[in-house]
Amino acid sequence: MSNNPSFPFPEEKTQKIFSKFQLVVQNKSQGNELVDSLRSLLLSYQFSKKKPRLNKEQKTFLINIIKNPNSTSIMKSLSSYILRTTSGYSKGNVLQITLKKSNGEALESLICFLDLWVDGRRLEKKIPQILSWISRDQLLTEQIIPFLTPILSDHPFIFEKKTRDAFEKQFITCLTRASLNSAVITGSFWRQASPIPVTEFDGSKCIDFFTVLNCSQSYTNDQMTNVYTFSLLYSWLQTLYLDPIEKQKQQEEEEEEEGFGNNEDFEKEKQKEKGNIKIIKMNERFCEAILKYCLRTLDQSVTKISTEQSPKEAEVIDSNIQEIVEMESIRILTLICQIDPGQIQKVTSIIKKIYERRKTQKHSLHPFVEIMNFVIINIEQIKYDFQPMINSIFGEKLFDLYYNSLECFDLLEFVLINRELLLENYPSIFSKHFLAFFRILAWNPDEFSLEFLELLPTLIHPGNYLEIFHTLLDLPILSLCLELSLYKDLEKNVDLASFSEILNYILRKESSSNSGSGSGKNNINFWDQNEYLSALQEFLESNKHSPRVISCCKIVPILLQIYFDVLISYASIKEIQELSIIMFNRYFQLFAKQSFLNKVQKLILEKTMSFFAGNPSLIFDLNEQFISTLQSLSPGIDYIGKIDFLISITWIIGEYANKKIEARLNNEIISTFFSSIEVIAFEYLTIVEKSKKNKKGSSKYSMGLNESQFQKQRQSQSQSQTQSQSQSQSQSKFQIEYENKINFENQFLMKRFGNKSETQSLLKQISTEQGKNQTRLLITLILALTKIASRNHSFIQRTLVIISKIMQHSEKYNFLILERAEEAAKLLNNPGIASLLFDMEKSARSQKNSYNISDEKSSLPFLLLENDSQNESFHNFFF
Amino acid sequence: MVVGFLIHSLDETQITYFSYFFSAHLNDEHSIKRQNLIISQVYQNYDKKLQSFNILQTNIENNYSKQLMEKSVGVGVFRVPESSLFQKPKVVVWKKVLNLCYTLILSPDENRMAAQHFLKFFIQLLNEHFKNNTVSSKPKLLLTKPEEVLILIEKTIPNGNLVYANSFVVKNLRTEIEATILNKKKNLKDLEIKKAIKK
Repeated sequence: MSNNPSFPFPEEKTQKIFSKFQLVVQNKSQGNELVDSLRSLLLSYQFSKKKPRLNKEQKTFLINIIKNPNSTSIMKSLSSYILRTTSGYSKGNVLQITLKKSNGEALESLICFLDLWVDGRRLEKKIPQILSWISRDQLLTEQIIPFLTPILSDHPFIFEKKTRDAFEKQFITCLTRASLNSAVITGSFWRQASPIPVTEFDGSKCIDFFTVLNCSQSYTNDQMTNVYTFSLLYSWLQTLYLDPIEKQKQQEEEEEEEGFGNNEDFEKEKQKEKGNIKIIKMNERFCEAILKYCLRTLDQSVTKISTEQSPKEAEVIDSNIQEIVEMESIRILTLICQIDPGQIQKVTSIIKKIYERRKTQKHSLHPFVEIMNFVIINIEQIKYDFQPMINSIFGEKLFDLYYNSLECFDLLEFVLINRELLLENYPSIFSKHFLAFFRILAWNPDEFSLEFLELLPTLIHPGNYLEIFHTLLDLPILSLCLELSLYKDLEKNVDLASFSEILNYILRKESSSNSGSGSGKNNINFWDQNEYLSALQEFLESNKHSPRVISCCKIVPILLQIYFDVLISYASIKEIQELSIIMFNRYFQLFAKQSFLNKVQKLILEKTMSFFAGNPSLIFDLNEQFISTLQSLSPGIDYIGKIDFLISITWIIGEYANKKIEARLNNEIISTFFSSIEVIAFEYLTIVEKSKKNKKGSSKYSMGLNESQFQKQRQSQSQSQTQSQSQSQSQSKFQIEYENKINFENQFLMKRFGNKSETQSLLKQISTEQGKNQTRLLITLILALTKIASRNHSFIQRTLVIISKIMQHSEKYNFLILERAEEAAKLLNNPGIASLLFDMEKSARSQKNSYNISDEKSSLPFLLLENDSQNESFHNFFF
Repeated sequence: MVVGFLIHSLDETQITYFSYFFSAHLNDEHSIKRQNLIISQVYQNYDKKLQSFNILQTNIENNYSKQLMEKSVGVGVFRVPESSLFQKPKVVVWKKVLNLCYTLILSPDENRMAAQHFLKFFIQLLNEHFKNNTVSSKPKLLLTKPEEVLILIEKTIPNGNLVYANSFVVKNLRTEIEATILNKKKNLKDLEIKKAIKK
């Protein structure tokens, strides 16, 4: 707004408008002067930062304009708008003024302000008056019925049984007895035109009663009232009938949960509360009239539109409205069945017919959503197999509608509202067709993030949890692939031959978990397939990331948190074990966007720690994985997340490689753990020493160097290949590899950023982080070795050798490392004390988690499977 | 129920050309904050969709896909959770035409397809009324006759009711709007109302 000098209005301008208006009020001006002033006032309400307040005199003036029969419609509308706009913070004032002469001329202005009654009790007193108006005159009914919607929303209690019956009696007339002729249009002045009959969309004369799907050349008051009444029906039924029923159900459920059944006071309280929720049976005649009306509109919704009667533009509107009215009628019928279950059988046969009719035609998803809603709400009473409809919608239609946000939104809302019923009756929606939901999210990450946060726990089940993990991590790639699938000349953008398999897999419609045993193991991690990897990396680097892809990157860590929460609470040890292996693999196989990588890697490490805290026995189950991972990570170059990864694994081994925690651990495994950590420790010590040898005259060392020093050190390292002859052969080989990697990294950064200063600044940042991280790593390595040695004294000497190596070159290490090394040496020189500290019995915290899933091949989501340890079959769906 | 209707720009300026809240509770001192919150969220959604589309459009394979994508950029829907500004959750449906965006704030159980339908015929009526199909490209035209926009809104969403309007109802509304603005039919109706009350 600030860019445009006109908006917002400066305060002075607003004041000027108000002063002018005050003059108009005082002079009781009329005509153009009044309209101009009211128009300026309207604009000042639209564009002033602070809404000006009206005084009593000004309000009275505006009300008098509305009441004055000589005022023009424009004057009335402007006055009404201004009063309405200020109504929320001048509660009741308008109405108090209006009601001062409450019987007589002031009553007519009531109509304009019916929805402004903040005080519902005062409005309640006027209801008999309003009822007498609508029973007397069609024109008044047409004016009043639209006001009922806001009144229903703000003051539903006004509609007690008596009032409700009176209104419904009127509605029956409005719905079924509207005129079958158009309003008489005055022809030339010497003769009056004869009435034109109402028609159907196909041009034939209407022989049944009038509905919203009939055509009138000029609408009579009762025909417009018919249209307004139909618009009102859904909120009328929902507010006055269904809401009280649902409130009562909810209250009963809460009472059952609380279990206070024997408490006498509680029983009394219960009775009292029940008294407050008044459930009234629906008037049979009203119910019949609605059913009759809806059935007729459902029949009319398939009437072919006559091109003679409606021009092309109108034909589009009419075919739209047919579908919308059909949808609204199904919504109303669903409500009727919830209020009066006696109607279910009758309505079901109608819904079946609509579905059979619709399924072969190409239609939007909206009516199907309403049909599914009817089915799922009345699932216990309906004996009809709707599984084909579910398969067709979630397995086919949805995959091609991901770009239509309105249809997707309707479907997501339906799934969220009915998820418990859907989980029980059509679990395949989640277990088999979950990929369609991810496609919607990948295309609309900003619009539907809220919906997806709620939906995710429902999607995860024992058969697909691994595939969902991969899908979540690859969400930005899915988004990219959806965009790419629309490209012309795809081969110009990517190496199609190698990439098409990835594209096909990412955009697959069927879950890979469904093609096999259903245990969730059949998932393919395409990152593991070497033939895909180079094509994928090339593709990810070569494509400019759209905001859609970046939004996906932002939402994935949040969704992963929810995913892990579900797994930690509900999965068995076996499933956690399988997931841990996949987590290890995927740690370095992620979409290459720095912030995304950092967040996801951090989360994976955090959750790995949580898994071990709950299931320490994983140390045995994952020992091979740990050892091979440690051996495969070459030291030296700190590619993104590596040191954090090493720190976490080393810490876990140090903490849990204890026979007292996991009896299956034998000496051989523990020895391999120790050796692997020992090798890494030696390698890092060598890096420090080596880097110092190459940096003669320097009093510092690489661990914790400042940015410029580390930078210089890096440069010197790249020139020092020949100085490594005194080292062992393996160390020389490692050193060359290390330096090559540094050179490669520098070249890569230069190539990527082009700008030298930008590259230098990034390198500085990396080097500072590296210094800190390497200090953390060395401390963790010393600690892990000390812990293992304290439990198995044969490793003490080997640990002390490493420590002495550090102490011998103390000037090269950060004081934090030296402090830890000194502590460790003191402890290991007193093995008894070291054992006391680190060789603990199994603690209560590390008790084996007893999550048991009775059927691992179940298609039920985790949320529905019995959790023996907690004796809960459902969780609350909120994470 | 439609609780609010906004006509605004969809660029960085985020100017509101017209706002109308149908519920008395929403016409309080926070109504400007409320409308700004909605408009900025619509803008964010639109802006990201547009940027993604701009990257895509030069590469899109066929015209049909291009049209579909283009169409999907200019419409949207999202949920507004319960907050201090909205005591109950709401659903926002918006549609952009040229330089203007038309945004409806709905109660969650409202028929969203009907809301979409309303936006289509409202925009059509607005263009016809201003006898200028490019009113959406010159939004300041709306500021010259705000009272007529007001009458258009009052007739097409009376008190927040979405009218199930077929082409004949739309035609009828068109006639009624023009007559009201010309101050013919309305005055006649007022007299009839008064007569009916006094009976």
